[in-house]
Amino acid sequence: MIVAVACVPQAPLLLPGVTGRPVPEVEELREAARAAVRDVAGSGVDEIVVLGAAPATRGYPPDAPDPAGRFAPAPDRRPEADPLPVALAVARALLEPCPVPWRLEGVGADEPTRAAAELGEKIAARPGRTGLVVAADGSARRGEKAPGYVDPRAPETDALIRDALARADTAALLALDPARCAELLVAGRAAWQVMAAACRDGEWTARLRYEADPFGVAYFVATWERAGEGRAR
Amino acid sequence: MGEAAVGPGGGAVLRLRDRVFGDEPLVMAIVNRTPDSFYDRGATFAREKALQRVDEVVAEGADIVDIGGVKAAPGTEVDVAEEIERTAPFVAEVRERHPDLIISVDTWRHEVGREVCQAGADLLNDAWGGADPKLAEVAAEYGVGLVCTHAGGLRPRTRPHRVAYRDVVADVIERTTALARRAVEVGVDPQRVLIDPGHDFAKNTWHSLEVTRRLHELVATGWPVLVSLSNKDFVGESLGLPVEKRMYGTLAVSALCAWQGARVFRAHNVAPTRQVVDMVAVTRGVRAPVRAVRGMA
Repeated sequence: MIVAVACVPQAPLLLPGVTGRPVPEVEELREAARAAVRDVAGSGVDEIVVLGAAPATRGYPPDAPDPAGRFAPAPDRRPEADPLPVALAVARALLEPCPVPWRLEGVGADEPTRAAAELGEKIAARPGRTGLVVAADGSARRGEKAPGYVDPRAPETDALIRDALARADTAALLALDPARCAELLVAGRAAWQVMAAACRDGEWTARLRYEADPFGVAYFVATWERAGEGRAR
Repeated sequence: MGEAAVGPGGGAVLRLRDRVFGDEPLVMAIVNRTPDSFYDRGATFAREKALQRVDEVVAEGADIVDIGGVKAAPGTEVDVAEEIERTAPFVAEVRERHPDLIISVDTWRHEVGREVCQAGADLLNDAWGGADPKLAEVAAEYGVGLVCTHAGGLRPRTRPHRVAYRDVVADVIERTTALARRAVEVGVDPQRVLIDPGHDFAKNTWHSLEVTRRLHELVATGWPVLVSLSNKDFVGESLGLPVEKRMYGTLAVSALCAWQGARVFRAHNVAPTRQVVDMVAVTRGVRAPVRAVRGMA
């Protein structure tokens, strides 16, 4: 049973070291994300499932190489063969060091909602108390300087996602339209739908802890805690 | 780079004052207490002007100031007493105004070295290649650094005349590393010794260009390398430009030396030099970009 969830962005700039010197906006985001992940790890879970977009829907080895050398090649940071998908690598970096056992689950970024939901149900059925760390973010088309330039529909979709995260509205996340999300460069759609399906049953206390688009991409940090399963243990 | 013993560029540790440096390039700003130096022609001979210049170069990002009391080229005789008068009280004043600044003094005379060390200097820039062997002993006595320069065995303040080398770089390496080893033998901290190929000292333009092209061979000796390129004649002859128009040429060769691993850049034009050597250092991967986010949001 899933008892606690943290949702964090999947931006490569959260991979440790790739910004060069610390960049204030990135560090603020990283701190919010780390705090959210720490709360999940500290909520008495038996294991943590780390979930993020990947080329294919499958598990990834926990020690898969970091992709930082592909995004930020440098003399002391070379590109590696078969690196972890960036979303999983970001979540792994935010999680470590972690006192709780964890595993990495990729979801194909283009998986239809139904396939995403099936993965969510499988995760929900895992034995024991499970924590979930989801790497996902919103539209990259939020302004003239955004990576995907402007799409006037982006704010509406991002607002819908934000509200769903802030209220643990799983139905709203499952209702996200994959085609629309793809057009808006919402990279986190499939992962959010896995998360929503995994959390469909029960009551949640949700908290939106960060919401901003310092680089033109909608970043959210949120935590959900299952009602009556507080972290006091 | 902080306390790293060896940076990613593989450079040896350099200690100056109480600081430890890895591979990040350092800019040494020239402050002349001379009425006749070739580039500034006495602009900072006056005490107040010189102090103001120190403030300026610190604000522009200089790590080190190099104070000189005698111009390098031949000219009016400056005796020991006069050189001390020009440098030592000034060093004391700079030390008081900038307690953490690394202060170097450009001199070949041990008597001057002693006075400036007492006044607070951290580095003796022996640009005349050990003409006065006692200078290294003074550096050892005061625990300061020493720059060991190739001057081809010329006497101080003499010009190269019909100089020829079988291999100028080999001669540079042989002489500078011999000076460096001797400095360590007489007690200078090996981590405070630099070598300088001495561009244009006992070298014509071709020799200085050859040294520039092959600077990596000096770097490979393991001694930290200082280069003094600023507005020099080899730049002027290369481009056919008078002294006041040599900045871009200077910056080009500074970049080449930085790329090959030079660690200290003695310069008149501090802010542009700082930018150039920092950019090269970031490209080499020995300095972190200030802010890399583009394309990774």
